[in-house]
Amino acid sequence: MNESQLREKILDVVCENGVDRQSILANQQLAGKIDSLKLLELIEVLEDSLCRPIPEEELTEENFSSVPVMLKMANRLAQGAR
Amino acid sequence: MDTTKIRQIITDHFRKTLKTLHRDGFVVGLSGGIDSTLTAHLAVEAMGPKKVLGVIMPERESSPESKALAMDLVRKLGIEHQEVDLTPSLEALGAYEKRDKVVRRYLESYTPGKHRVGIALRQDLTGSSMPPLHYLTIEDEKGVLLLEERIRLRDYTELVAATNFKQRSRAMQVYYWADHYNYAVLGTTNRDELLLGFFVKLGDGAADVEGIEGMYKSELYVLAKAMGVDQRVIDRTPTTDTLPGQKSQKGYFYGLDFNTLDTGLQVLEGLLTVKQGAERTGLEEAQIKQLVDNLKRRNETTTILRAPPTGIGRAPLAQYL
Repeated sequence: MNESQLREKILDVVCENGVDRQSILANQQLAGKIDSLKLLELIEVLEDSLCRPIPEEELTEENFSSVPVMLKMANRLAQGAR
Repeated sequence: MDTTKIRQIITDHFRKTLKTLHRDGFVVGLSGGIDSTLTAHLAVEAMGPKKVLGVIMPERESSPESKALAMDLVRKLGIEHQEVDLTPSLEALGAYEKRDKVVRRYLESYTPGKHRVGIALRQDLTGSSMPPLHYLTIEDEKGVLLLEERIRLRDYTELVAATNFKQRSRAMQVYYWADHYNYAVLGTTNRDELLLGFFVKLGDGAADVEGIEGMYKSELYVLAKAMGVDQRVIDRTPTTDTLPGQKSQKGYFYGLDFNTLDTGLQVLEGLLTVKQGAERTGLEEAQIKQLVDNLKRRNETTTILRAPPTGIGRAPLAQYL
């Protein structure tokens, strides 16, 4: 999955239950927009794209604060950098 | 808090509603916890002991203390009771088996009876907008933690679906006895549970009449004390008695003490300002705001639990043409 596909997949998950896609695209911020089940789903989307679990210390508010930040984390983990 | 007035409002409501519903008395499921105990006290105060039936529903994993406290309550209030062991129904439904199948994906050697499974939440309700992360926990018989692993989404929903059989089996029994005696079912949902969706739809959320759903958990303790509820019940750690390794509601769902949680809910409902919330809890205003945001999100995401079946409307369809 390339970055653009991953981005779309993340947006699909976030916007599945009535969250407005346009508002997410406009400011990308996710705070308060995802519940615990969506968070689990997002983690799984990212882990599937990475083909490995995300380390616990990466599961922070900051790393899930917006779509670009999430993608950045995924990139960083994919490259094995910290 | 004017406990006399509260008792009067709730007992008047019970008497009035029973007439409207054309039923002869109340059935209440007794768990030995503060919610059902207090509700039974209120029902007896409203109707007298002869019009209240307690149903005690142990199963092989429920705490023996739950049954013992419920039995003591029956004796104290002088009400009739029925005891129904839910184990055979739950076995027939595959409730244990379905749950255990999920748990074995995490620990192959998991042995029910020997190991205790639970769900733990990691969250910081007052300091972060991050929703809670769910972890499956497994302890041995000595309480030593063998596993704590983040649970996958489908495993979590499968586990919840299986454990919800317990609350729904309890609801089936109380409705059986309600029909049997021409009684109405008294619900025991409190305001925290109602607002945060901490109940099972058509399970412990199933009822004909609610008594304490307007009261926050911390208020229930004050009323319980005023009504002479057994101190052991008041002191008992609240539990849903659904997963054997679940230590408390606080650990599983709320993550906060009831005073802080209730303050947050009161701010959410507009009964307190953020400033008042901060003064009451000793937290910063920013923390109260964060708490309220998190509670609001939880309230919104559990809408389905509180919603009645959504139809086009209750009027004949012709009216919508």
